[in-house]
Amino acid sequence: MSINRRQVLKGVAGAGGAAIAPSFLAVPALAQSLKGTGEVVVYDGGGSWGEAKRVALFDPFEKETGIKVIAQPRTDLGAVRASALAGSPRYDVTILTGGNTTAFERENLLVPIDYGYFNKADLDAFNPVATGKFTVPHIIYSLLIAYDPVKFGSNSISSWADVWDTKKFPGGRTLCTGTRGPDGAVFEAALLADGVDPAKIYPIDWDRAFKSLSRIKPEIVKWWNSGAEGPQLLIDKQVTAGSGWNGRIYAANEKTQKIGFTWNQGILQYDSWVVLKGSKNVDNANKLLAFMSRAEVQANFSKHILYAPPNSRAYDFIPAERAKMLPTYAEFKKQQIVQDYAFWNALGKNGRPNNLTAVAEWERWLVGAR
Amino acid sequence: MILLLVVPALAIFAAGYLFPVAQLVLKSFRNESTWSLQHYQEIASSGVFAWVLFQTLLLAVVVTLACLILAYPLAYSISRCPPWLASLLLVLVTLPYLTSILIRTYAWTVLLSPAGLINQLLLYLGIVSEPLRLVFNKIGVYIGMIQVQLPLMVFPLYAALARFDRKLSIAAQSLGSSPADAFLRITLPSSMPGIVSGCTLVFLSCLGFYITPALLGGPNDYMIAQGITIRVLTLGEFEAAAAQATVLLAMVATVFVIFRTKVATELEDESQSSQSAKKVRDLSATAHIPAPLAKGLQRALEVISSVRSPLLVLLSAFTLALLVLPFVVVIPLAFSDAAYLSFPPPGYSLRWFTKFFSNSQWLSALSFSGRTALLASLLAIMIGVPIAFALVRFRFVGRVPLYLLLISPMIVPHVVMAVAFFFSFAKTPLIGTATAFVLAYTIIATPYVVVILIAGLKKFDRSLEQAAISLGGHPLTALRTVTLPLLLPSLASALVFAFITGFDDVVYGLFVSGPSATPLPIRMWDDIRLEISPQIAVVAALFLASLAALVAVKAFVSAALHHRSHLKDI
Repeated sequence: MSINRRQVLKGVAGAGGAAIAPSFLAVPALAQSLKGTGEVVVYDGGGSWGEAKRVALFDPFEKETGIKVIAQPRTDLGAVRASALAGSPRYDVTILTGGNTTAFERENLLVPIDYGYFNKADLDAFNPVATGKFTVPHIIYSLLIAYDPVKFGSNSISSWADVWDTKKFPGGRTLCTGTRGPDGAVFEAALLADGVDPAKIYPIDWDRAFKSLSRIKPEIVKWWNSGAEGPQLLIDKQVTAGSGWNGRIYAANEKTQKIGFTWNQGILQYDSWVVLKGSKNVDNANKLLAFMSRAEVQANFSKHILYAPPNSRAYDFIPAERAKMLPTYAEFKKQQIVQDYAFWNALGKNGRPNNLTAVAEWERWLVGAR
Repeated sequence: MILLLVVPALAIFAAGYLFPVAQLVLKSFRNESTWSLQHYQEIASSGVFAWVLFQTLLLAVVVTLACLILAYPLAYSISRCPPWLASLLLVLVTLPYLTSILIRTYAWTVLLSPAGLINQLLLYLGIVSEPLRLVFNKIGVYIGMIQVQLPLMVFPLYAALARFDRKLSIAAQSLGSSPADAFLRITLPSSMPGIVSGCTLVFLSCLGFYITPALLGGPNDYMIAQGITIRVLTLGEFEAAAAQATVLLAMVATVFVIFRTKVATELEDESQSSQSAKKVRDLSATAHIPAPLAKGLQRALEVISSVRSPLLVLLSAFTLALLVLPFVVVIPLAFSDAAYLSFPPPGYSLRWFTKFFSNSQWLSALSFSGRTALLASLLAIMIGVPIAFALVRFRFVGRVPLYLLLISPMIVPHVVMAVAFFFSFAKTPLIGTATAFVLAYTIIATPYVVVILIAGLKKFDRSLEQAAISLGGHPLTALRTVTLPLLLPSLASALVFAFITGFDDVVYGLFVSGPSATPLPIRMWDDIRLEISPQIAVVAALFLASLAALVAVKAFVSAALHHRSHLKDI
């Protein structure tokens, strides 16, 4: 059993880590027509993320293909997993964070993507995250260092070590709760703050990470849980520094600069589209995924919301002004590290996936039992 | 007869709750495909669970006591108000139930922050010299929880006190009793059923809370429901979650058994309950209290009674302020023109209202939630009222277990119930339909109906009913013309609670919704998770507006009826 799991993991690590189109794909040079009938049920993410999808992805897809897109709001991962396990998935197509796809693969809850509908040029351009047997990357985003620009001035805090340094930069802190596992990159941040070489973060040294976290814990006002909380705490002046996702930080800075941030030591993360097992509209799902992988379509999406397109060719169609705000813009990309989901999904020494170990260890640490 | 009253509720509970949860409990003893105690061994060996459990129990106890102390003066004052004022005040008490829990807790972070209204007031009054840390620690959790739970305490207390015949207390006083003495000997014992049912409700409902502690608590606050929720929703470790939930269930059951006489006062016979009331009286009278202590108590109460009116008003006002304060923040937020929550808003506009009304998804979700919650609340009344009658009026085997079963949906964390529900029905066409929501909402709404109705029936003067029957009325006629009209206030508040319980539900929505069945809180959930925009404040403001309209209509109608009956007299 566990050998099987490891083999699956190895395969995934290869597919996810390298920026090449997997060889099992037989892709025609020119894509087939995507015209069809019926519908496809898709998770839309809600809020401005959902609106951007409606305008830039779903409406144009309906117009071109005649297939109706039924956009559904969020359910938590456990509910999605439960629905797939029970054989009646909540969506045909949904989004999983990179840290969660393997668990779904392991449990045989995903349908392999049919790449026959995709353009080869688009597939080859997925970078720095390639497409996988079951996954088509949807967005790339950054978990960034954020701070109070009024108190410290712009360009003041520039590393996680600065965030940890409350003598030089006094005030409360907020970081993502470890109960979200890899989602908020709190373990990576802790190691970087402790001086670990960015290239040597993985495999994560739990002891060192928690030791580093114990140093900052007295200054933590709150562990944030939802994406909006971190920026909100900064706006409300409850904290002076912490972490937050780039999209949320930009939204808060809509009119005036409320939140300072740096791309340096940002953690690049990504979400992928998947097709759930038991879906009644697999063919339409593949057509939608193929449509959404096109460079022009992704460029249009990036005009509506500040997430980076996984198809790097999309940059050819994005105005320079806009491109300079996206997390994978060349200059920013080199300052950041890409979160290693192969590590997070792998089984640790205790036989459990690292993302689950992280949560269990976090709970123990929090109550002082670690 | 009893069967007839009990069967409808039992059938619905068995199908939508009992059977699914039993399956889930069985699941906790499974590991992959074999029977195993592994999940329980993990709980026992980690030490995390015990700590979290202790935290949770402590929180529940403190919140319950604080609610009792805060709610009693308010409920007492309301019960002495003229009816129009009383109904207005009761509406104010319900307010916390009508706003999204997220917007409400955000309002507290604004109010309690170092630069917030409360600290500024304290600084201005010179009570403190530097801002207090009031949020993101235990204080914040307590304040937030107390506000949420207060209505659960006020309503049963009010029901008990309003039924209480004030003439008794006046009679006692006219016979030479001091007001304090009259309170101790007569009013307090009479309100005992209300105290017990309020404390039970609040304590048990605290155990399943996680959103408020998660949002207002500090970096060290972690409750049992958080752990269970994370296991179900994030980690997908259903069996481990089932094991934790089972342990929680077992604990609650133990508490029930230990305090069964106290909890069962709710179900005691009239004679028994007057006995227990008598016990309280004896206790409060000097008999069982050492003389000096009793004298001291008496003296203290007399001092209080000399200032009791102003003090009562002050205490009541304080509790009301606690309930209403977050709305001072919520309403302006709805009119904010910022993309984030900021108080006071940097500018005002109708931006978020326009957005709400131009979005067909919001509107259809609103109507879906309204319809299903209304249907469910009516159904809950239909099954809850008969069973409350059966529990109060009849003695039968399994009465106490039946009562515990009926109120248990308030204790069992909803996430566990919902996941159990989902697994049971996943293979049927029920998931993703309005019917599933009505069934689920009925189950979570019924406990409120049962508790409120039992409290209502308990102090109900049966002699009126018996008089009607002895004068030749058919029992059913007596039910229609005497009993039900007298129970109307209880029925109305049961309906309100039942409706809101369904309308507010997020957790079932996460599991049960489908393409044509998406309730409002699920639409809100998205916004909440990704962006705390003023959008949800708009929903809260709209709730309040419709509520105000309802109250106005009700006042208008009763004024009209009053007028008509006057005409008839003439």
